[in-house]
Amino acid sequence: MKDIFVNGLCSISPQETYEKNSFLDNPINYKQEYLKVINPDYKNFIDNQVLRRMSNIIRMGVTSAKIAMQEAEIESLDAIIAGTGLGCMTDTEKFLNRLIDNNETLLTPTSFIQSTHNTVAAQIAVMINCKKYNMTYVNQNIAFELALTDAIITINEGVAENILVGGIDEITTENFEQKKRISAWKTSEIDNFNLLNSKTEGCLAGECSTFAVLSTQKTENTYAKIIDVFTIFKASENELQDKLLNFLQKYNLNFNDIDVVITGNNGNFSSDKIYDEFCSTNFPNSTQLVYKHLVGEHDSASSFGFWIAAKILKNNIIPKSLVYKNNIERSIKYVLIYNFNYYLKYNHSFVLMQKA
Amino acid sequence: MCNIYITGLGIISAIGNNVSETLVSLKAKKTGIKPIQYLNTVHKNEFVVGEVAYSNEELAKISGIIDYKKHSRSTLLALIAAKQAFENSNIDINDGLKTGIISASTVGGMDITEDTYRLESSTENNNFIFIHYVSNHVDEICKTLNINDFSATISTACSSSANAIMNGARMIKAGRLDRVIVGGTDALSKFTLNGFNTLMILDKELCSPFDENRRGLNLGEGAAYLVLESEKAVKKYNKKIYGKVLGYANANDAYHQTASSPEGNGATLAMKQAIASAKITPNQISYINVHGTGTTNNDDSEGAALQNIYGDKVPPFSSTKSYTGHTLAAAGSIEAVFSILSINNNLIFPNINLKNKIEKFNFKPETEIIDNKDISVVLSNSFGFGGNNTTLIFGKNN
Repeated sequence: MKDIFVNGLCSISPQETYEKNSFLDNPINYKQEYLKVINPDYKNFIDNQVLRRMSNIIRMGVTSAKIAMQEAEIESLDAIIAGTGLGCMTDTEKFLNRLIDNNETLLTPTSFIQSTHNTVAAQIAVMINCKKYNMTYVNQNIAFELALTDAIITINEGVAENILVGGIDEITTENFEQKKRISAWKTSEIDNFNLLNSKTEGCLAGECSTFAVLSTQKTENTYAKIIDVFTIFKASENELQDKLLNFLQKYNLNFNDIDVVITGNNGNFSSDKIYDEFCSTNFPNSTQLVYKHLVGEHDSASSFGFWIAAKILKNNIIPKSLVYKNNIERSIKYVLIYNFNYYLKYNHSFVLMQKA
Repeated sequence: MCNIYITGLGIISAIGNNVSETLVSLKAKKTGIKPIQYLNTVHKNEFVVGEVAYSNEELAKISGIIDYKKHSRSTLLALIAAKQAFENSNIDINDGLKTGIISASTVGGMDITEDTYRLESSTENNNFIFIHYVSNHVDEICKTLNINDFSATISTACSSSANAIMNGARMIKAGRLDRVIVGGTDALSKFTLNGFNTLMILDKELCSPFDENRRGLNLGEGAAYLVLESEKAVKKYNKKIYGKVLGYANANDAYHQTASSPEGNGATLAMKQAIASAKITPNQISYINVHGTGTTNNDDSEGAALQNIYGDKVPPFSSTKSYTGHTLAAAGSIEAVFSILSINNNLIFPNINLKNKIEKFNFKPETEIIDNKDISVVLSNSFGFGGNNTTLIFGKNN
């Protein structure tokens, strides 16, 4: 396996994260039903003509991609690979509502055109005139991990030096209200800093766009190294333990070697319990970090976990707001990001990263 | 380059509910495009489509599903075709080999969403919230066929399932899987019918791809899956091999969200790179199954790409979209099955409904069955919104 470095990174999230040097220094305390991203001034990144037609998921996707590329100091890419659970919901809802309201008449094409799941990856390609490999994965909560897996394979095929990979999802009022009906969320406004103490089912919704430039060369911008990704559809606790150990052993690692585990706890009691038990059994000596109380739950939320892992591995600093268990002071070499579908309790994913 | 073998096929579309029915229709030049029968739309008498000739309830019965209301039509179609491929390849899921699935869809559960979106909250009415996800059909296939090691869903518009096939092959080559079920599914929905209608690229009569006077595309629906296996998996069982995946490539047109570049840049790149990855020369291709949607833009652009590579001497080619309609995410895998049928039966399927060739090109598609040639290598194109261009190359297992 080739070495793969994270050389550029940007997350547009409900926290102040899109500036290069910010690392959750003063996390924002929200008391609301769901979290929306803090939008940068998109005019600085996207041509005004083009910007007008774009829904927010496209704006934040394209912009975070651009910032990640600027950071990595590259202008061309060998592949663009995105992961999204629901894709362009605003455009989808716009077209669907008009279709229902007007009984399939008086429709215009723009929102239909922009409703396809690959719109963000395609718009990035048009914007930087990238005629290379362009892919979009849509498996709910593992969409981002599949994009990463594809990037790892692509680099190991020897056909790519710089790959843009990212996770994007937007929360809309309609989608929020619908998922409320199936008790996906907490039932009232919630203090996000207390989210993980609630002992009830449901979580806090959010949204995010995180893009990273992965490269074969280490540079002075390098954040971290990606070792590999492991996903599995369904597994009992024992099976998951065995398979994760197999995965780690492929890289001559053991549970003990993992300094930091970043888990997808989101305040949903029954699934948080699974993370907690898994970590106390397998990673009793590792520091456990959480992040969904800061950016909310969404299908590609684990891409924010990835953003955190890369930042931690670069600076060896852990923001206090992320610490969940065992803040052990040590030099951090290996970070593991663990996530699964909290509602359906399947699609487990592990992303293994290393200090560069 | 290690070999990627095709050991199972499954298909359901407007021209047949399985592989053998499909072959019969292809040989008989029998289109599946008809007036709308099942899709509940106000445009019922306005457009013709390639519908699968069953209601959701009937599809559920075929796929062994008890409560049909809990599944979208895309999922029902996917379950039927994936099961066929799985059984055709005689897979023992517990044999210790690593088995995965990579599937594709664009509409997912939209057919259910658009009918229940505004209904009041109830267990039944809320179903769409789960099944709206494009990946829902993959979860259902995993549960039904006990696939656990790897599952992925791709959504890149009309090249989706071609990308699923390509990336299944890449997973085997990377040593991450021994066997992978690849393909895609898309059911007709009001959302897509009206969407394409706003783009004014729907033909109200039977479409005529690569015709000088073509008027647009017909939408279709269906699902198709292939089982891809590694050398190791094939050796273990001494299975029937339908062919090999010889090459593939995905390139981007980087031109416009929906329109293809007039020079066919992305398409040319995809074909060239796929041919290079198969380590063959362009002239070794026996037949090209073109994307050929029947829109002015696609066929002009794809024709330009063929010309870029071949000049005026293009190998025998045809679009099969006037049989099935454009099945969107399923098109790549449906046409992959056609390509494998072409290789296994030494047949070139005709481009039905062509009257006048496109004047500016000095080549034209085949309009009659060709059955007197050895078909050893087939190239299949799939192009999608977002300039997403994918070419697959299949070959005989010699």
